[in-house]
Amino acid sequence: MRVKIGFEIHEQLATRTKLFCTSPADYRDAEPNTNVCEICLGLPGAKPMGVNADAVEGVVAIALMLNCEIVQEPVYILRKHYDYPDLPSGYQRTSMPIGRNGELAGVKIWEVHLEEDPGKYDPVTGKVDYNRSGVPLVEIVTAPDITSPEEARAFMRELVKVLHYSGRVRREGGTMRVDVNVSIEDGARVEIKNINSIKGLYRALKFEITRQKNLRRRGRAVKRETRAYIEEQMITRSMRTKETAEDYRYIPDPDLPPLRLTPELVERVRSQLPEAPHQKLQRFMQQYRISKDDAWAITSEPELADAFERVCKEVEPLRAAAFFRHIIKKTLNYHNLSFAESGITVEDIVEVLQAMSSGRLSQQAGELVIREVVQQRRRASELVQQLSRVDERSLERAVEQALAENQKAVQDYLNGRKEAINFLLGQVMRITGGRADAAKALQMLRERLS
Amino acid sequence: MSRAEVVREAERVLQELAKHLEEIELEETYHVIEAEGVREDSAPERDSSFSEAALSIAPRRDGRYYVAEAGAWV
Amino acid sequence: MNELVLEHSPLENLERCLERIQEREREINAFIELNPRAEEEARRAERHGGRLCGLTVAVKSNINVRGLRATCASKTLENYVAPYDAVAVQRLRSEGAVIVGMANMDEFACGSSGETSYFGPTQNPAAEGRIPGGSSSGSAAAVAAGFADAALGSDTGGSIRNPASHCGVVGIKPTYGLVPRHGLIDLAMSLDQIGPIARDVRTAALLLEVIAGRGREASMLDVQPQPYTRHLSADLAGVRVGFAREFEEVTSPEILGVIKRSLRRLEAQGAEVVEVELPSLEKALPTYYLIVFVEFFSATRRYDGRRYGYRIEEVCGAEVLRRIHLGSYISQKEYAGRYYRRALQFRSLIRRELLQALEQVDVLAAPTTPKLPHRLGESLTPLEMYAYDLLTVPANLAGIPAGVVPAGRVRGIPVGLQVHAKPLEEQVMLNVMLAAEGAE
Ligand SMILES: [Zn+2]
Repeated sequence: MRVKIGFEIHEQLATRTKLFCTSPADYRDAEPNTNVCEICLGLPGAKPMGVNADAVEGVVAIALMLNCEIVQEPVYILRKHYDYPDLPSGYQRTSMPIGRNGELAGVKIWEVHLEEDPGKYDPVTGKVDYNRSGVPLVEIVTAPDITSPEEARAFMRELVKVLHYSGRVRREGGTMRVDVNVSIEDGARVEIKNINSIKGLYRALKFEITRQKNLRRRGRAVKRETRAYIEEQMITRSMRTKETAEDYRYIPDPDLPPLRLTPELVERVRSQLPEAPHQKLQRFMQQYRISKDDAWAITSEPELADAFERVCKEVEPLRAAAFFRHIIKKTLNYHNLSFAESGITVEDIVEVLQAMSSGRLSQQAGELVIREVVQQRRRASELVQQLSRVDERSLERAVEQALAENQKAVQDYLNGRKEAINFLLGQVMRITGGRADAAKALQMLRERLS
Repeated sequence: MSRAEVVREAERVLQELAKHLEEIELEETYHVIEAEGVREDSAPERDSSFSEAALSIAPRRDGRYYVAEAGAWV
Repeated sequence: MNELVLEHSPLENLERCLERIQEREREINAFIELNPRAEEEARRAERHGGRLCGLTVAVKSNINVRGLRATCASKTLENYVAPYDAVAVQRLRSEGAVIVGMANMDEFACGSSGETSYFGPTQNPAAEGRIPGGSSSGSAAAVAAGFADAALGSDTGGSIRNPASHCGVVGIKPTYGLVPRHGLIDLAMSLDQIGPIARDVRTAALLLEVIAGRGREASMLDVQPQPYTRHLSADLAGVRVGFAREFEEVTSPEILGVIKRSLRRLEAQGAEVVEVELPSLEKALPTYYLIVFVEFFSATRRYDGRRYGYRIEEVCGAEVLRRIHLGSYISQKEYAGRYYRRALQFRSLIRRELLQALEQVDVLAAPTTPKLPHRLGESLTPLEMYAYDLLTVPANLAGIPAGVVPAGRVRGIPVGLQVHAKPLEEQVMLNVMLAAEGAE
């Protein structure tokens, strides 16, 4: 059965102040209802200030990175009326499209808008916090071009990467909200709200498609409705309509003149646009002569890619690329951290790579250093010191000590039980704290026992 | 006059008014002035005496939270 | 002179106002709440001075004054103590004005008579037994009764000019976007303006120059305040005053008589009176009301009971309910084209006609209301009530300034002359008002 999936994606823009007032946009460490003023509280009489230009430019930049055309006519900011406890004025302000007709990874981008976040409402306790109210959002609407949960996941990963690359969205994570619409074989369109991770998106789609297919198999119609994704149970559930007022009664906000995205503004934003992920991938393959798989892993995050380029000034790119893909990326994935969050610096990486190429550090010890940097937030320079291989003289001393302390094993070896040498090697490693070059130690043991 | 009567009468008022506005071909006027309506992002401002004053007039609150209906949208 | 010279010290001045309030407020009902800190403010004015040092001001109850209730004369907001000052109020304060109290008004400014207040109707101090006009009923009445030297009102379709005319005081609706609206509780956002009411043109002009000029809100003109009082002049040599024949068709003869006499007075001071045309004048009223319904509906969505205690539809009066209901109805997707957008198209037409008429002249003179204020308690149909606004709504639809100055009386009832000007040409409007002043 043919499945059609489309998205509405909302992500917060990384501005200092809110969209229509100068209250702080970053509320992460704020007490409830402290990042507020009469404007974002929607108090009687409050009027919006001018639209935050940084937010407008952010949306233009994202629209351009999604290959949209930028609207040249005046862009009205509309009032979308609906009744919900998180909306202090009874309407949400949302712009008409700023970008249109874009494309990403084979999926058509219909529209890109600017809008304001509502407050945060807990339906169970009824508590409302307006710190989030008025924070600027970019809204991206795709065509229903996606045909499976797997494709949906791949597309979202790509989209998240582009948003991240744009440098215009909040990096703290956890602020993305996705509404998904799903239909099967031109049946009714079901909208799923309340999805805020790619994993959640995948699971919600899996569940919803199965649900719709089962209904059809039993000869029952799929109802056109809005459903909520229940994260804990990994199911979707019919939702009491929040935003499904039958009619939003859109009007241009009389308090806000339309935005004018002049060619000068668009050109300025375009000229400052960061390199898109796929462009960076191509360039890395050519410039550093690394494989596509390496380049893919390295460009998964712009900060990681930047670090790679800086490391390549000191270290041979092929070796750096292997280290980035197999050691750093693996460590990040294991800890579920982004590079920016990991605490790893370019200096750390250079330190480790140089120690490895000079033979002071084993491959395993190199990985250990990176892990310790992430877990202990220590610097590589001191860790390398601790983990670097012992020199020849110390190794010799360790070998002597191992032989002297383990006469029985020595006798066994000399009596023909060759595997006893492994025990002796283990003792050398113990004495050196694991910092011995195993091959060299083995060679020394054989020489001394022959 | 009851609220239902007001609403009924309102529709008659509407028809009386609207009958004077026949179809015309003209652009709509949404705004009578040209304003740029855009500002530079700036250092954020916070006024704790304001947020206290605003919270103090809430009909229902719980600590620093405003309180709306509970359970109705679950 | 662009500074106020009061006869008395701020504290004495305030005392005199309070005495008059003591005497007559029970009868007039101009205020919803008096400012308990007025004396403190007067003392501060004595210390710090300012261009309005000691001037007592009544503020309409739809304008936020921190610590006082901005009720909009509605049960909906009876407990709303404003946690912030409107920009216009801040500007008044910083020049030493003393806020006497929150003035009565028509509920949410929906009315032209001052009778729809949840806190009871206001009497007209200048014409006993008559309505004071509205919706800035308490503001105009307070000034007329000497309860305050001046007042702030708001004007969406005549709400400053109408009661100014009926109460025999001066009222100004500035160019849209000249005075910050931040802090003014909405009736219709694209039409609302805050403006001054005073007993004479000079005081009104001074108030205007204090409250005018760019604020931080988005929908404003990027202009600096002008020293209107410094350039105030009653010499009208070379000034062309327009008057439209269409005004005569809708105005009662007795009012028209006063207005014509006022025009002759302007001619005597050097003005040339010119006839202009406003063929679509009769479209202005329906256009205005359809726009108001939709914008008011939108503005009232926040009164959902969660934040201010009452759901507006459950506690408001008939006129407010009527407007909300119609606004909700005609902004629906399927009707918006037939009503709301149609009205916005007519707005373009009316605006164009007014601006074209004003191109031929410096100012456009007009009556303020088509008829005299009715007796308090007399019952009018909604359309009869709306008809009061016939001559005041065009200025709001076009965004141009318009002021009202007392022009004479009919059977003792004040009648005001209305003067319109081009956008931001408040100066010539004020000069013509000054020349017309003192007709009584
Ligand atoms: Zn704010």
